[in-house]
Amino acid sequence: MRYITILAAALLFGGCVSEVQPWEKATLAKDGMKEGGANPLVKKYEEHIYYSKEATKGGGSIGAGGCGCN
Amino acid sequence: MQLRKLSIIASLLVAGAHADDYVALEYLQYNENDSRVSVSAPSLEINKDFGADYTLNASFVLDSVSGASPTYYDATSGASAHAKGPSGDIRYGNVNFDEQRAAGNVTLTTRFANRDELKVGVGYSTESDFYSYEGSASYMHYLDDSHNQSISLGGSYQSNEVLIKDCSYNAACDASSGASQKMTNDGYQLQLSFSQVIDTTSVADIGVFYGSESGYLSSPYHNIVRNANTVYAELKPDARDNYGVKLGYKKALGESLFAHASYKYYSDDWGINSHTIDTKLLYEVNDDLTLGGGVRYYMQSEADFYAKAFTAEKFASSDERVSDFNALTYKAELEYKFSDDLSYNLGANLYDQSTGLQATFFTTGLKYKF
Amino acid sequence: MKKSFTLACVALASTLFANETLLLEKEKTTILSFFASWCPSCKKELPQLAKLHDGYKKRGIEIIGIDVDKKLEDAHKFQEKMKEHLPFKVLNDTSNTIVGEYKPLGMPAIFIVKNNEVCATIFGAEEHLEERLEKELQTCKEKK
Repeated sequence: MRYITILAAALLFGGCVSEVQPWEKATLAKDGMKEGGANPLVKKYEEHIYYSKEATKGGGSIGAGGCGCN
Repeated sequence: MQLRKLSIIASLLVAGAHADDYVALEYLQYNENDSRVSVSAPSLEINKDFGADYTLNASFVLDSVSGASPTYYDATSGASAHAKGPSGDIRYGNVNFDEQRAAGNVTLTTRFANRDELKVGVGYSTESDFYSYEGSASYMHYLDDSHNQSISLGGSYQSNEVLIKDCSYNAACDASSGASQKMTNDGYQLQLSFSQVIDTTSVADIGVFYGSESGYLSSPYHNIVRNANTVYAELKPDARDNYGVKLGYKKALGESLFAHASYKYYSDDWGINSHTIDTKLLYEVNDDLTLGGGVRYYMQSEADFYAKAFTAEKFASSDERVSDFNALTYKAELEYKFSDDLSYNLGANLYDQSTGLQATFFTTGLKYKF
Repeated sequence: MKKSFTLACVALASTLFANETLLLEKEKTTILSFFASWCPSCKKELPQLAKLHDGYKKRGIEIIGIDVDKKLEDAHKFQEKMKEHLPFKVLNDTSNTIVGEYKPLGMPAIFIVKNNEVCATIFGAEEHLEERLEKELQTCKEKK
């Protein structure tokens, strides 16, 4: 599992990243690119249902490089 | 079975990612097959900026949970389908319940000069036999001037009280048979994540998480059978450590189409490992209408102490939630914007577990930006 | 952070590549405000700048807004929605030539320009914009 993670990180971030300027983030700021979508409450419902019906806990995703315009 | 309170970390990390002020009203209707659990849950969320540096997010939900949950019970007692003890007629079937749950949480986001963010949240959840309190914090730090890379560290602590209404045939109880007893458990979750803007149309993230909980982790409503003749309350271990890793990727495929994909691996010392693959496509038909759909695949292995029947094992559970199964969710959603400020959303999901559990859940709501 | 470039270079680049030209008067102090329709903090900053506009005009300080939306349609729609908060001149930089010259580190971005030089910058949302601008304008005044 550890090796899959390292490989995934290398594929994700190694050699294929371009420097995106702050004024080039129009697409990244769109609702369609948001982690919870346009409606965070819906995401909360979904997570709650899976937490109630399955044994897995933890692992909510964090994403903050999308817009960076705060 | 009751819906338990979700760790606030997921809500911390979903809300507050953007600076719009809004109020949202949402409604969930959840129904399981075979007249099992049914949930109606209206909720309200308010997100408000105070200047450039502070955002307050508050959400409240009221669940009405009713229906039935399958477990073993002594059918001869007649008094209550939760009846335990020696029995000549042990059955596995739905046991009725009716429950109200109120939950809320509040999160304050503080932004600093470099626009790093600190989020602090508190939450609670109450039912007639379950109380939960949670505190959490996370810090997001930008690693570069253009805000293309960030690292986040988050943690939450949760403290819960569970009421065992009837201590008969329950190894977790100290109280005498038939009496009630208040049990507690607590735990924490930690997460470390890295997010990277790949290009003008895609972003990826990777994270690791670790959690630990201890105390009474069983359910007083789930029973087991020992020696084929006696119904007891289940007993799960009183400690659980878990860890995992999550990968996420979001990509804009042109101007109107967005793809999300994520993978999560989970493992704990109860012997449960799981994999979750979640995908979604969103399509902006025009300025007003967005359609979406997706599939989620989940699989988990069973806990070391899971079985359908027991003899003298100390830890024992027949709770399907810790059995091995896989599950598919098919999702569809739409969002319609009446104006720049007011939008309506509708979602439909079909959840299908290999245990035989099937559920549909619908969400619908309004969001108003002000 | 400081930057310097000549009025001629900016004007030439703007004329060749942008829809509209940014022309700055050398002796005048100019506040350039870069914003976009997709930037939530920009929506909060523009009303704050609009409140300061009249006072600055009396002091001979000009505010110029520069909309970096790549589609003119998006820019016009946003400016129409925000029109009561845009009492100052606004340029459309759809080719991103002007913003590419200035290279702000965040959005929204404010550059204070005097004598063809950038003497102060404010990147990202600013909690106390008026106070911060006063401080930066004072810094600019003290520079030769």
